Amino acid sequence: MDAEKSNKPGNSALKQQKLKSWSFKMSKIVLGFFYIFCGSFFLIIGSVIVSESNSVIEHKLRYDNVDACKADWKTRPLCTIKLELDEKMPSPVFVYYEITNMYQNHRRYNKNRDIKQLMGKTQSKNDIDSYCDPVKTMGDLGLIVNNYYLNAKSVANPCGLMAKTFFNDTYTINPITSGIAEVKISFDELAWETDKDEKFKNNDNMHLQWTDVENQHFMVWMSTAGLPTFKKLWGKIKHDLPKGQYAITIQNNYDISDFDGEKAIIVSTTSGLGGKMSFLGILCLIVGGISFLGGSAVVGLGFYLKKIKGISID
Amino acid sequence: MERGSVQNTTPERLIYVPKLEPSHFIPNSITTCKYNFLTFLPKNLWFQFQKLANIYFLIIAVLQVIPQITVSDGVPNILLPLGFVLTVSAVKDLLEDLNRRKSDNEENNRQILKWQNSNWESLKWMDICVGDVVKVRKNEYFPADLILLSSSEPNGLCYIETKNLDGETNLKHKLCCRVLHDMLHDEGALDRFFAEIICEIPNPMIYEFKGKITAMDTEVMLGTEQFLLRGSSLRNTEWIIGIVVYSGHETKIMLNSSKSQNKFSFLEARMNDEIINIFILQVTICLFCALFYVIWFSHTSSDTEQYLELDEHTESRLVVFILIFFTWMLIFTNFVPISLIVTLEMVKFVQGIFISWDIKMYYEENDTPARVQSSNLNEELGQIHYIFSDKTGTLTCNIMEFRKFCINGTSYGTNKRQGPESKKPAVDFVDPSFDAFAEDYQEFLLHLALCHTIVTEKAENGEIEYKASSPDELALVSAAKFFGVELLGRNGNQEVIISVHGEEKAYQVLNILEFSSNRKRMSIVCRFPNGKLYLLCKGADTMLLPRLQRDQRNIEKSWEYLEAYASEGLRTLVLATRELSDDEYEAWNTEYLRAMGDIVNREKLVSQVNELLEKNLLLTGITAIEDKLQDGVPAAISFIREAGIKVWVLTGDKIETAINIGFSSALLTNEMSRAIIDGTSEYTVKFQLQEALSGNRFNASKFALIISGDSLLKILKSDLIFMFIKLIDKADVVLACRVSPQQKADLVRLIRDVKPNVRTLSIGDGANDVNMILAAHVGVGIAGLEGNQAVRAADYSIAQFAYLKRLLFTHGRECYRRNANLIGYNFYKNLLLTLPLFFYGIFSAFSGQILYSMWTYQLFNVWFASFPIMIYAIFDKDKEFHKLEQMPELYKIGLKDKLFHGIAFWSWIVEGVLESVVLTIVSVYSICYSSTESNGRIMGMWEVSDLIYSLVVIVCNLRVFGFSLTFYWFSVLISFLSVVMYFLTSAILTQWLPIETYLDNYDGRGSTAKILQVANTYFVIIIVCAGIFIIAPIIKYIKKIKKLLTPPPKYKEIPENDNEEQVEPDEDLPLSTYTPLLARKHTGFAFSGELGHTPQITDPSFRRQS
Repeated sequence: MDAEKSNKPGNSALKQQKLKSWSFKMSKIVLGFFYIFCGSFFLIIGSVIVSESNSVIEHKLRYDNVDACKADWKTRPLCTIKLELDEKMPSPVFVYYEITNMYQNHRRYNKNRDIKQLMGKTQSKNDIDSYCDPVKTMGDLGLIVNNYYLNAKSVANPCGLMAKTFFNDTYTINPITSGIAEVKISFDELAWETDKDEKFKNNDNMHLQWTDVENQHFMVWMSTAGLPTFKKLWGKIKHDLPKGQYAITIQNNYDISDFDGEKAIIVSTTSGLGGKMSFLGILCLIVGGISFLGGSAVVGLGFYLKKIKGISID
Repeated sequence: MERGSVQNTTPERLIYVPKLEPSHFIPNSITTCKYNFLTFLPKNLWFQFQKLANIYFLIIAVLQVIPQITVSDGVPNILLPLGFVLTVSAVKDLLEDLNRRKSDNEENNRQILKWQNSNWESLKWMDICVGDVVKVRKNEYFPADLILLSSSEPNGLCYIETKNLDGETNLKHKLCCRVLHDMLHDEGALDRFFAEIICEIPNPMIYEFKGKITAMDTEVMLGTEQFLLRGSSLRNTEWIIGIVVYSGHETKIMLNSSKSQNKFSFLEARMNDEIINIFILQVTICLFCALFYVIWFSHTSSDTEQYLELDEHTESRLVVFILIFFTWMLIFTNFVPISLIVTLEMVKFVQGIFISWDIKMYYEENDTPARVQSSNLNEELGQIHYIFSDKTGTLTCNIMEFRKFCINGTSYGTNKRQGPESKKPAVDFVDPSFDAFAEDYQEFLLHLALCHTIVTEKAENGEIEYKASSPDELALVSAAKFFGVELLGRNGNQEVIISVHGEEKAYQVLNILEFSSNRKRMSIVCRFPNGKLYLLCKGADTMLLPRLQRDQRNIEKSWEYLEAYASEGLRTLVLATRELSDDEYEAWNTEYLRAMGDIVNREKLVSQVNELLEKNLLLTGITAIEDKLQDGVPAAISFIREAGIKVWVLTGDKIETAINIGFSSALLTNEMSRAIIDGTSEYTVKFQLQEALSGNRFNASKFALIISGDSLLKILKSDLIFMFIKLIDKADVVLACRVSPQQKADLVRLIRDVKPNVRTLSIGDGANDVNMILAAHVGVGIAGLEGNQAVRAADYSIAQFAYLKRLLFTHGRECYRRNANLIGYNFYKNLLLTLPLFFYGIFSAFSGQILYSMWTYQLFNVWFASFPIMIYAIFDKDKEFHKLEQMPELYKIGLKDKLFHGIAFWSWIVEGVLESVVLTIVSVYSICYSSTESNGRIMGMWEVSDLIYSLVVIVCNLRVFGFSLTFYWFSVLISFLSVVMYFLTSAILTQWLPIETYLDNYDGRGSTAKILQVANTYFVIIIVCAGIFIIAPIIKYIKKIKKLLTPPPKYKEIPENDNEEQVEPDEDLPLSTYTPLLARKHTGFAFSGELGHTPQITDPSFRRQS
């Protein structure tokens, strides 16, 4: 009876903090070897990433400053630039446009849309007020439409700054000396599945919309870019582009002069890791290098100190 | 009895018996709980919103609903963590309050007998009122402050035990007023009892009471002798009858209960400072962001017009600035680690549980485990610089053991100890050469058995228990019993019954000449069965030597032994006798009675009269009593001192006793130089201080300062305090003797004032230590047999002083290490979480873009990154615990605050900043600079955000391993699960929940799936983690190599000291071999009785014989 009443704490491993545990106390030499091992691993990864990136063929052509596209583009928006391929670009080849100095990720900009409207719901002016201000009506959009469904005062669908500034340059690529008849650009695999399946739905009454929300160019545009200089996928060429010259005809609609931007078209293949980008690979090489050298130094110095000076570093 | 002496002093309280209805006095029920059912919510919220952090939360919540500022679509989701914090605190408060309520109820519902309707009726304590006549029976507690009317004892005495009040176990007696006692001895008289009591209004002076009762036209003065305090209990007396004078919260004990303030640990205080620094940093960053944005905006507003259409709020730059500033403040909500406070509290609570579970701090003998009263001081235990210790009951057991004695110049008793099987209480005597039956020794043994003030009590099992006011006397009487001369008790005729080797004899004690601190001796006059009269006297050697007959043999020899005993740390007493003739006695007794009758100068006169009798004494013997140290005290003290902690012993004992204990407990060593400050005038104290300061002793050896309470009084009240501070700064050990409870606390406060950066710990067991326990940073109570005042006031309680070592060096040190890391890590963690938002601002023009989904953002500190660090802080071990208790140098990390001083803390911050830069830039460029999949699609901001957040979660969870020293299966698992938990939550929100249910996540829809299906994500994770973890060991290694290659600093001084201090006294050898002059001059005498503990009546009016 007394034993039960006792205040004696239990003698379990938990209560006495004697649970089984490990502590890693590597000797410095072992640690050095571990570093060498990790370093080698990163050097390998880095090399793979860099070589993958190098295997990508990418051509970037800035056209907003090309004379043909520059002069008086608002009245004669069509212009043509030349693309010269000195090697074959295997399919698929992707066409991107790049815009600089445009803050799609500005807090005010990327929130400026009505989610429900984008998902196909008919929203009243009041509904969109807090989201789409200041682009709420067709008039705000600056589009002159006057038909049965839409006039300057009707609700803009889609509304908001993002939709208003929808990128509307178009490109056609025509072979000149490459030996193929035409370059077919398809627009059906540009957006992510979630965009297509969930995020963008046309209204049941398409007439209420001034543009097709399910258009994949629109979806791509509406996905906020991460950087003020951004690329967006515009088209996919599902066949090889042989070596040779091509003419790119640009419907040059989009005004970038106001924000000191630049426009470029990029034609690129991809590797298994995506487009051309050696940044990550170089980073891997640096970290791997440091680790390898550090490890070697630890091992070398350790042995040196032990053998020559008789000091153990552990 | 002068009239009116009461009236003139203070306003008074008038009580009528029987009491008037309705009573205007407060009821006797007590409530110490803070809340009741209705007031809990409002009151608790009010308390909680007095905390700065909670107000901050609230302001954030308000900002969150302002549309121009909000980053969470107007949803005040900060209320989620705020609600959590409030609930946790409220539940904690509620539980504590329920506990208090329970103990209140227990106390309020105790039963007491009250005279009512001509009968004793049983009532609850809370139903008692001022003016009620109550009856308290043996071993019951007094329900309120009472005036003693009458007692079951014919002589009007009653015994009380006050261990709940002052921790003393010895019995004290109270005495009825003769008139009242006679008046009420017949119970029927109570019905006819009318009285009027005048007494002081309620006050906290526990040892004072003045009053006057007028009953049946008789006026009687009342004093402390008739005053019974709530909280003490009736012992040795069948019953008493009393009148309630103070009830409930007006009782003296309640007025004295000091509300212990919340103590904060040094680490926590530092943390709060850093929180403010971090908050300032946050504001600075937000100001920077706002400023940057305004400048960017001014420069580009015309450029960005086309797509941002910012013109509509361009009217005022200031407005933009303010809006952006508050937006950033909202984004940075988690910059200041508010969750840290909750985490820390929870962790400390569990740490506290583990402390109380530690079986190494469980004392089998009295079934007492360690207890933690305020776990928020756990880490403070790892940073203690000064320990202030009580002596009696703390360093020592408060058990006196009879060890040796000397008769006729021969010493008996060896240094051997009794085995546990033959061990008797209060005696530890081994010497086969001593024959207890030898005729020569009988006088000595009888002296032991007779000359004392012990009261006997028959326990239920028929054994005779000795109730002593001084443990020394207990040792003496027990020794007599051990040798066959057993004290059996006293009978009504003032006769002491003694069984001399089995033969019962009655010795008539005629007078007791009481002990006083001036007299340092006590005597009894006793008529032996053979009719002869003897004076038996015992006392300090200094007092008795002049009173001994000059020409005795063996005196010199005996005195040599006495000095030897003293130098071993034993407390000595000299016993002496004188035979009296009847005539001499009668003459003296007349004088004595007259002196006793003098109320004004009684003490002085009696002392003068006593001198007449205590002279020409014959030496009977010398006794040596050991003030038994608790187990392991010397080892613990020397270890504690080795670790660099200064130990002060503050005791109410005399200087010589304290020095003896100092030596036996390894506090003082032979090599130390000592300075004794015991002057009683300012001049002598000053001289002594100068003397102590001037010597070149400090260079040569360690230095111990011994100071008396009287000198301290002079020092603390004058300029001498500066000299004193200089001196204590140099002292390695300080012994303060004869200090009052208040002085103990003053000394602690002095150190705290003089050295604001040191942490102090007070350890004690009695109510006299309560002040000092409350004054120190950490209070530790010794939970033992005695009262629990100290334990109640303390933050921690342990059963043995030696456990302090484990408490400090294992738990304290580890808690400091873990909690310091926990705090640093929490700052780091939140920086790592929030700073990417800032660095991403570089890419988004500091426009106030919040990357994270607001809900996952708020869940970070709740789900994704809180558990591994908590597991760490509870379970991590530097070394196996017993190793921590072998290496005092390991305690230095806390003493020097190595883990949380400025650089240590800011290195966490710098790490957080650097890593968040790396993390942000690597994520941004590897995900959305180019396509990351063969399908050529490019990810955007929301995928970057997801990657950054994932990286933060992973890095934070892994980072814990960076400073963990032990790994458990569950610690690894928890870290893993935390990461998995994040991905699951994220997948649910961005993928599995239908999009309509959670529109907030529209932007991030599918982002988790997207990033998880590209290889770059994994490369980024690996490379960032590797980059982060690779650097620290390299830096550490470089430091180590550097240290190895530089010549080692001089460590020569340390080993010397170590050896010196590690010497533990060998039990079989004399405890100390020194022969200091001190010991010769003042031999500690074993006698700490007090006035007023005599079991016999000194009040002549009660004497039956006269």
